[in-house]
Amino acid sequence: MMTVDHPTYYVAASAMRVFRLAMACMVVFWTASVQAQGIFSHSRSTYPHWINLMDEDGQVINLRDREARPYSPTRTCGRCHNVDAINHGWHFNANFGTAEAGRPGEPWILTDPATRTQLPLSYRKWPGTFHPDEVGMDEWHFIRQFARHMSGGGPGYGPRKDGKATAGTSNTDKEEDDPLATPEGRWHISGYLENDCMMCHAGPGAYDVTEWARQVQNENFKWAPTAAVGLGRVVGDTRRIPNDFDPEFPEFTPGAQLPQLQYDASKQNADNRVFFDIVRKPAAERCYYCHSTHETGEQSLPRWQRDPDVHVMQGMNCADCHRHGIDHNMVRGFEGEAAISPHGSAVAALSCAGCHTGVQGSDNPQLFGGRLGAPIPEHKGIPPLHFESLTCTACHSGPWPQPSSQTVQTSLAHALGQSDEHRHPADPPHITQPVFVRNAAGKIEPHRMMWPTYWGVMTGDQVKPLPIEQVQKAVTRVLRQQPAESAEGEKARPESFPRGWAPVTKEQIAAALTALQKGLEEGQIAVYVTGGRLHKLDGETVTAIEHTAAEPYSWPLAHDVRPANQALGARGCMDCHAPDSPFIAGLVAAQPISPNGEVIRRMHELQNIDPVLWEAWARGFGMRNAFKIVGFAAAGLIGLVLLWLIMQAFSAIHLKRRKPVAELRA
Amino acid sequence: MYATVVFFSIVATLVLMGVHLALRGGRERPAPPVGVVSRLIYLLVLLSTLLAAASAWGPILRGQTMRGWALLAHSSAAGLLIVSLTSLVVIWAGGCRIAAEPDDRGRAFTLGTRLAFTLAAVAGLLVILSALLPMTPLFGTHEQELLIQTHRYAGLGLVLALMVHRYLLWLAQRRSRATKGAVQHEATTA
Repeated sequence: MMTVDHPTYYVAASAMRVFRLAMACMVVFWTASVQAQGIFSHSRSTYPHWINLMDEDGQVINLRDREARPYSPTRTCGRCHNVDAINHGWHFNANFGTAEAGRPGEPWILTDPATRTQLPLSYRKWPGTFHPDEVGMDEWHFIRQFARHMSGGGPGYGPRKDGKATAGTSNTDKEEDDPLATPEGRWHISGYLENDCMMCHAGPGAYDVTEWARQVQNENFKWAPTAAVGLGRVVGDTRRIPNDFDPEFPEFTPGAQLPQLQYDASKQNADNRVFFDIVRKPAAERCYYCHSTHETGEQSLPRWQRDPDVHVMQGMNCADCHRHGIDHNMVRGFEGEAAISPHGSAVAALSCAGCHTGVQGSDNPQLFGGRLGAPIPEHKGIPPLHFESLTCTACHSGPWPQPSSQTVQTSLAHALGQSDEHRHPADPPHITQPVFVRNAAGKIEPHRMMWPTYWGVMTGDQVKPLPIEQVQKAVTRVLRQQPAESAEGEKARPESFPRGWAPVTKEQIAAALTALQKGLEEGQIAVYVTGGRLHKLDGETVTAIEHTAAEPYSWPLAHDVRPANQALGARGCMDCHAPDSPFIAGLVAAQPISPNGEVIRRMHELQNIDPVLWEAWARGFGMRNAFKIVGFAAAGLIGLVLLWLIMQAFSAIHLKRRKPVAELRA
Repeated sequence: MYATVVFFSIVATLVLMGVHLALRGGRERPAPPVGVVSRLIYLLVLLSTLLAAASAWGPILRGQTMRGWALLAHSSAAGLLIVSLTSLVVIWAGGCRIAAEPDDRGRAFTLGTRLAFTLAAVAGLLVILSALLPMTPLFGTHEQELLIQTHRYAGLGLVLALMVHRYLLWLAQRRSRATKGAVQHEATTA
C-alpha cells in the first residue's frame, strides 16, 4: 500500500493539483464575465431555477454519477450571482478585517459548562466582547462550535491572511485555494463551509436546518449544503479522520474514509439540471431559525399566551423592513443607521420612526411617514422630551417588564430550533431581558444582557481570558471532583444541574486558580470573572472585587413589537414613573451568582440615573394629579379675573363716553 | 433662535427701563397699595419666576434640553408660581382695574404698573395652560411641540412683564418714599 512517505504519493498529488487548477481556470474564464455584475431577470416573478449543479472545482455534477462530489453553492449560484458581493454582506463579513463593526449586537457565546465559562465572542470587536483568537479559537473551531446557526461563509472559508480568505470566497479566486496548504484546522478534510444561499432562499420546506446542523456537528462542512437541501444523503463523518489524511488519496490512510454521498437522481431532469425552489424574500419562519427567543423566566408567559410581533401579525415579513440589495448589507433598522450606511435616507425610511412618523421636511416620499399604510402615531399626552430620551423600542418592544428581568434563551446561544430532549429553562448561557440601558446615543432602550464568566489572567489592571483549552486542562477536573452546593443546600454532583452547570464554591475557585497560576508568568495573576465580580486569590482565600472586566455585555432587542395599546405608558405615566416601576426600579441579577454574594443592580443604575433624582421624581409623580387640579383651578381663576378686568375696562370706556352726553342732558 | 430672542429681549427691556429711568424717573407718582401679605406673595412670584427661568434658560442657552435636575427644579418652581401668581392676581385685581380709584390713604397703582401686571397675568395664564395641557391625553406630538413653543414664549413674556412691573413698582415706591421723607423732614424742621 502506498503511504504519504512513498515518493509516488507526491508525484500523484502534484499531478492532481495541476489538473484541478487547470479545470478551475477554465471555469474562472467562463464565469468571470458574468460574475462581476451577475445575471438578472428584472422581473417581480421569481426566475425558475432549473440549474446545473457544480462542485467546488466548477465541474458540472451529474446526479447519476456515483462518484459525484458535493455541490458547491459558491460555484453553482456564482454562475449568475455576484457571490463576491454577497459574501461581504452583514451576515457573512464579521471576520473580514475591513468590515464595519456596526452597532453592537448579539454575540456568539462560548458556553462550556465543564469550566463554568460563558464568554461573549465577536469578530467585530464590539466593546465587551472578545475576539475568538483571544480564547485560542481559530476559524475552524469557531465554525465547528457555532455554524449550526450560521449559513456558512465568513470564517467558513477558512483563516484569513492579509484580509483575504484562504479559501475562495468567490468563484474567481479558486486558484488560491489549496486546502493542504492550510496549516490550521482540518479544512482539508472537512472542506470549507461555503455560504449556503439556500439556507435563507429555499422555498418553504425545501431546506432542512437540522440536517445542516448535523453535518456541521459531524464536521462534514463541504457536504452540509447538499444534505440540507435534500439533494442527497450523506453517510459518515470526518470527525475521526486523522489530520494527515489526504482526501485525494484516501487509500494512504488505512481506516479513514470520507463521507459517502448518494445523490437523489430523481431530482435531475433530462438536461442534467436540478430545480431549486427559490424565494427572493425569505419568510419570517426562515429568519426565526437563527433569531428566535424562548422566555424561560418564572414570570414569563407560556408560549401559547405570548403575542407575536404586531408586524408579523399584519402579514409582514422580517425582510420587508430588513432589506438589502445584492450586497446583502442588511438594513438593521435602528435609529441613526442612515448616518453610517452608504444607502442614506433609503435606510432611514426603514427604521421604526422612518416608516411610521417619517422625517419632517424630507424630499424623499418614503420618508413622509405612514409608509405603506403604517399608522402614524399621535402619542397623545406624551411630552416630546420622551422621544429624545427613549428609543421607540423602549416602550414598544420585547416582553412587558417585570419587577425582575427574566431569563431568556436565544437561537444563537441555546441552539433553539434543534431538537434536544435535555432542554431546561436554566440551561446556560444565562441571558436576561428586558434590561433598560442607555445606547451610544444616550437614549434608553431595552437590551438583553449577560455577565461574562471566564477564567482569565490579570496583568496590572488588564484582564484577558485564558485559552479555553488551557482552562479545560486545568479547571475541568477540579470542578468535576468537588461536589457543589445545590440550591437546596444539599451536596450534589454537577450532573444534576442543567448541562452540568453547578454553582462553583469558593474552594473550587481557589483550587482552580491555584492550578491555573502554575502555568502563568511572573506578574500575571489567575482570575475568575463571574457574577459581576472578579475573583482572585488573596493568600489561600478567594476575594471578589468589582472590575470593568466583570461588567455585563448587553445588546438591543427590538422584537416582538407591541402595538400602542400594549406599549409602556398605555395605562399612563405611572407605567414608568411609579416608584416601583420595573422600567426604572426593576432588578437585574448577575448570573451565574458569585459565591461571594449576589450582585443585583437596579435599572436606574444601569441607566446612569442619579438615585436621588429618581427618588424625587418618583415622589413628585405621586402629586401629579393634584398638581393638575390645582393648576387648572388656578388657570380658571386667573382667566376669570382677566375677564373681569376686561369687562371693567369696557365699562370704564363706556361710562367715559356717556359722561359728556349725561352732562349735556343735565 | 429662542435663546437669541431671550437674550435680546431682556437686554432691550433693560435698556428701555434705563432710558425711562433717565428721562421720566423723577416724576411724581402715587404710592402703590402694597400690604405686607401681598408684598410677601409678590416676592414668591418673583422668586419662583426667577427659578423657573433660570432652570429653563440655563440648559437652553447651553444648547441642551431641559431634563434631570433642571426639569425637577423647573417643575417645583412651577407649583409655587401657579399658587403665588394666582393669589396675587386675585389680591391685586381690584387695584389694577383701569378705572381703579386711589384708596383711603391715596395709594394707587400707576397706569403702567396696571398694564404690566395685566400682561403678566395674561402671560402667566398662557404659561400655566401650555404646561398643563400637554399633561392631558388630548394633544399629539405636533400639538405638544406647539404648546412647548407657546410655553417658552409665554414664559419669556411673563419674565419681561414682571421685570417691567417690578421696575415701575420700584419707581413708585422710590418716589413715594422720597416724598414721604421730604414731608417728614419738613415737619421735623418746622
